[in-house]
Amino acid sequence: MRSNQVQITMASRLNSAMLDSQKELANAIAVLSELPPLENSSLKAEVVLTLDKMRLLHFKQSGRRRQPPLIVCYALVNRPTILDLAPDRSLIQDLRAKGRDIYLIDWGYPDLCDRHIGLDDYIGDYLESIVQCVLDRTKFDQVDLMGICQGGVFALAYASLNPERVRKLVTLVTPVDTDVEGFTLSDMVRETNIEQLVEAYGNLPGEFLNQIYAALKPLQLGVIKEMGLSRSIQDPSSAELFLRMEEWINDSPDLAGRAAIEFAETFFKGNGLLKGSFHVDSKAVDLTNIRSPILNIFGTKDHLVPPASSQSLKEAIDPKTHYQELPLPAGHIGAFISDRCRGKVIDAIELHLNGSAFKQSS
Amino acid sequence: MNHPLLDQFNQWLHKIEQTGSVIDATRLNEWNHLMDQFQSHPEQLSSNHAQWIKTLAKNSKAMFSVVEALQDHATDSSEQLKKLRDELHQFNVQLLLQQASLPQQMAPLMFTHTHLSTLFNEEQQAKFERFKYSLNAPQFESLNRLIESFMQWQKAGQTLTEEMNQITELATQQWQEQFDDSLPAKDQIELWGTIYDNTYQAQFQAPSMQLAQSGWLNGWADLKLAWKQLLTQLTEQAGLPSPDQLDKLIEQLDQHRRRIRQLEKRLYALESGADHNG
Repeated sequence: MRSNQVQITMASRLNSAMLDSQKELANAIAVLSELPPLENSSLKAEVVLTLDKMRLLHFKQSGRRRQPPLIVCYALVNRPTILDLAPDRSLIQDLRAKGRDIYLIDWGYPDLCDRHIGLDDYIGDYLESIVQCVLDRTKFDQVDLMGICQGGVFALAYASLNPERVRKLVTLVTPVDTDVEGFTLSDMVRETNIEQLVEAYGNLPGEFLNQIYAALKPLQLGVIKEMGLSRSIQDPSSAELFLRMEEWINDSPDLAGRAAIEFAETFFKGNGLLKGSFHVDSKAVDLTNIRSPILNIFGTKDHLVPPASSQSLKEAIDPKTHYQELPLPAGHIGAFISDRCRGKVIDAIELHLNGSAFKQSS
Repeated sequence: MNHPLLDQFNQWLHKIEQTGSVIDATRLNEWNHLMDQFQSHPEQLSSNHAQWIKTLAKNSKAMFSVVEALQDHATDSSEQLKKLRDELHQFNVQLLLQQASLPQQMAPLMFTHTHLSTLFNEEQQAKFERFKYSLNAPQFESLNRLIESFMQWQKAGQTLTEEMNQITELATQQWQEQFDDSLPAKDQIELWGTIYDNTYQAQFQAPSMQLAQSGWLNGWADLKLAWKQLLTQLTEQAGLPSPDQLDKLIEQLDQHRRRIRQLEKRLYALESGADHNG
C-alpha cells in the first residue's frame, strides 16, 4: 500500500519538479547574462611579512583607539579569502569596522619544494615569527589570537607553548577531540595511510582534499547541490555570493606533505591535543598551560567538525582559565559567514576581546 | 540586452505551461536542442559567466536523464526503486572515479558496467591477470607491480561500492517510510538527500565502512607509487631526471632553506641584541 503510494505520486512529482527546475534555469540564465565579471576585492591589504610562501596581511584599524593587535590564523587547507569574501560579507571588514587592528595569515600555495614543511615550521617558526613581527610593529607585549578550524588547532598549540604572549584567544569551528562520535573526517583519516599518500603525491593535492570533504555528504554536496544550482542563482546578489563561494571552494591549496602526515598522525589518529602527544619543536602541547581567556565558537550543524569535538576544549583546559562558548545553529562555514550568524560572532568576539562576557541568545 | 536563445527557451516554457505540464516527445526534442545550444554557445548568453551557463545546461540534462530513467517503463514502484538504486550506484561509481586523478587513463577500465550485478569489468580484469603472468622477466618487475596494484585497487573499489550500495538500500527504505505526499517535489528531493547523507554518516561509524574507504585510498596511493616507480625506471633508462632524483633535489633545497632560516634567526637575534644594547 505504502509503496504503491510512492509510485503513484513519484511520476507526477518528478514531472512537476522538472518544470519547476526549467523555470529556475531560465531565470538563472537571465541573471547570469546580465551579471558583470566579479571584481576581486578580497584580501586587499598591506603585506608586512613574507616567509617562504606565507604572507602576513595587515588590515589597518579604522578607529583611533589603540587596541591590541588581532592575529587571525586560518587553516592550511583552504584559502582565507572566505574571511573577506565580499565587501558586505567579510568577517575581517566587520572586525575592522569595530576598530580592530587585524593581521591575517595567508599560508599561500605550497608546491613540491615545500613538501618537507611540517608543524614545527608552521607553528614553531612561521606563527612564532608572525607574533614577533606584530609585537615589534605595534609595541604591544601581547597579541590577541583567533584561529579558525585547523588554524584554531595551531592557535591553541601556540597559546599553550607561549601563554605569556597571548592576551585573548578565540577559536572558531575548531576540532579538539578527534575521538568523538560522528567525526566522519577523523574516522576516514584513522585507517588511511597518509604517509603512503604523501609519498605518492608529494603534497596532498587540494583537489583530492576537496573530494574527501565532498564525500562526507556525498548526495547533498553532489547531486542535490547540482540539481539546485539554478535555485542558487535567483538574482544578482545571490548569484554573486554563489559564484564567490564556488570560487573559494575550488581554490584549495595543496597540503604540504610533512604537515599532512604530522597532522593526521598526531592530531587525528593520536588525538594529540587531548592526549599530550602533539609536539612542536619537541615541546609537548599541553592545553592546561593556556592562561588567556578563551571564546570558543562552533556550529551545532557542523558536518566537518562535530560540535562535541570543539566543545571538549572546555574540559581540556585549566578550570581556572576563563572559558565561554558560543554555539550557533549553522554549519562549518555558515557559522562565521552567514548573515544570520556573522553579527553574533562579531559581537561575541568584541565583548570577549574587551573583557566582557556575552549573553547567549537562544 | 537581447538573447534569442533565452527567448526561445522562455517560449518553450510558455508552451509547456499551456499544455498542462506534459513534456511530450516533440517538446523534449526542442528542449534537448536548446540545451545543446546552451552548452555549445554559452558565450552568446553571458560573456562573463559562460562556464556556468554550460554547467547549468549540463546539470539540467543530467537531471532530465535521471527522471527519464526513473519513469521509463516503470509500471510499479519496485521497478522505479530499482532504477533509483541503479542511478545511485552510477553516482557512487562516478564519485569514486572523481577521487582518482592520475593515471586517469586507467580509471575507466575499472567500471564499464554500472549495473549492480556486474560492478567491474571482469573481462578486463582477466586480461590483466593473463598479462601479468606473461611478464615474468625481471625487467618487467615495475610493470608487474603496477598491474598488481591496479587489480588490488579494483578490489578495494568493489568493496567500497558494495558498502555504498548498502547505504543506498538503507536510505531508500527510510525514504519510503518517511515519504510525505504533501511535500513539494523539491522538498522530497531534499528529504531524500538528507536521509541518504545521514545514513551515510551513520554507516561510517561501522568499521567495515571505514576500512573500505581507507582501503580505497590506500589502494590508490599504492597504485600511484607503483606508477612512480615505473616512471623512475623508464626515465632513468632514457637518461632523463627521474621522480626519485627530483625528490632528492627537493630534499636538498629544503635543507638549504632551513639553514637560511637559522641564519636569519641568528641575524635577527643579533640585531635585537644590538638594539637593546644601543
